[in-house]
Amino acid sequence: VEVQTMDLGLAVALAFAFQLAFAADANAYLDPGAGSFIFQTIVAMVVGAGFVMKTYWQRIKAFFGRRTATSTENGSAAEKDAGDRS
Amino acid sequence: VTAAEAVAGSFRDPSGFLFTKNGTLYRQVNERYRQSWDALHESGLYLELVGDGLLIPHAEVSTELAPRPGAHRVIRPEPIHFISYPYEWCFSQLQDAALATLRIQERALERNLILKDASAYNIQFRDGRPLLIDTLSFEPYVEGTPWVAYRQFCQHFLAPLALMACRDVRLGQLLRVYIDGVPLDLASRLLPLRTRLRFGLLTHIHLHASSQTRHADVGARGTGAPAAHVSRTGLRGLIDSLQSSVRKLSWQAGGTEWGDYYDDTNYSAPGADHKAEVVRKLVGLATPATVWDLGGNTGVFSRLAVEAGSHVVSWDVDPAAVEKNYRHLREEGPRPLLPLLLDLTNPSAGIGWANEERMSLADRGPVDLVMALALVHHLAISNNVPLPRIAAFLASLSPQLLIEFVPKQDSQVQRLLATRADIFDDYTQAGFEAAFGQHYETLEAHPIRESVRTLYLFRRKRT
Repeated sequence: VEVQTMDLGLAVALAFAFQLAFAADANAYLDPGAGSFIFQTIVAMVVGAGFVMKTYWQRIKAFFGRRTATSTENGSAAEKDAGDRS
Repeated sequence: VTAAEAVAGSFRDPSGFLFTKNGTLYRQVNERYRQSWDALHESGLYLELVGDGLLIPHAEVSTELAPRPGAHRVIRPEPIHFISYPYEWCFSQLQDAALATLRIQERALERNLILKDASAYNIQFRDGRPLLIDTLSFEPYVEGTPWVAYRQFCQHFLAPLALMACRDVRLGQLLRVYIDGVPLDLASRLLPLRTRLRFGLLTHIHLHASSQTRHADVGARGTGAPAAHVSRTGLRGLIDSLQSSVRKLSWQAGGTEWGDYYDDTNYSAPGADHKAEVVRKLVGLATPATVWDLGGNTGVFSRLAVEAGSHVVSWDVDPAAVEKNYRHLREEGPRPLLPLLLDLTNPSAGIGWANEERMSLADRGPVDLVMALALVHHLAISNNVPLPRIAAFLASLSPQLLIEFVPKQDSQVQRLLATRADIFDDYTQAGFEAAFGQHYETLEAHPIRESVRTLYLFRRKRT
């Protein structure tokens, strides 16, 4: 898994390397770290997809009325998101 | 009227800086930060976060107070009673600070703003709860941009938490060495192999670290900063993933030396009651607004000072004791108590740029009263610090001292002497009184019932 992810990372990095212009915000005083930035684009795709799936799963559970008392109390981001959309 | 003085640790972010004038802390907000500042307020985020206790409230004052040109605003933030640092926090304090940061990020995103930094030093504890003290941490969210502070969050929070939970709680002290958080390659090398089986740690620490190594030469290629695209959903997924990675980490207090000290004391029940009664009485006489309880253990006596109306920092060298103290505080609800980790034989030093970005212990004093209960034998016998040096150091911290003398006959001292030669000829009650008499006059002295110990209330002599 690690090797595949890293290869994907390299491919994406090379693709982006041709796009010279990067509109950094005027207030961005932190150096985000180049590797960290490239890595984040890949990770965000993976966890973003997971987040969407989690959101829909919460909606399905809510639809069938199987929301437990505890999960309602905790009110995770995914659940709030499901609430916003339904 | 004195001149404004810039706060030494406030220089990295060009958005503004902290300064003090006539003993009051202010923050200058620079013109270049105008758009973000206005967005923070107009979006309603400022009021929401302040209302939920996640952001420090402030009052706007005249920009005439600005010590440097280019001020958009000058604000007076609500004062924080004691500034503490992540290397002084127990596991759960660092974890709660991490979760507060992510909650703020989540709320900000809902209102189209984003945290532009995620430094653990931007979080402080007020009445036992973490809150963000840097009002200049926000900027408008631009759709499609990544989170610029992702790496900083991992270095300041996730890496030390993972090391503390999965390897050894003492590794939290790496934050003393690495002022911008634990480098991810180091964290990755130190973490046990099994952490690679946990998605969150595999991703945000191990793979993140190897990606940094792999792309270390991007700058050298001269292509500028890499363009990176992260969707809003991706960003929310990232926050959600970091939240669950942080939440899944846990550390159980136990196995450290003095964590169960109160179950293993040499006080009889009447002795313990009498000690509490005397402490209460002497704190009442001292009427301190601020107290440092050195060797505070799980905070039993610190709480007596809190009840008397003081703001108390409860210091201990044992991470388990600080952890128990903090967990207890969380259950009790908000009160002016702050449990912190400190090795008094090597107290927090001034660190960072010019050794003045993060203050030393002494720089954050003086306080009105220092309490040192059941402590002097640890300093004098376990650490070979002569009594006159202990007295001189404590006298530099506060004008009043509530201290317990524990003589050699005491079972706890006998325990310390059991494995070593007794080279402590001056460690006697008379030697103690002589050493402390150099700096203090005695206001009260109370032998504790059914014990060989004595409680003193000292007042520093005028020099």
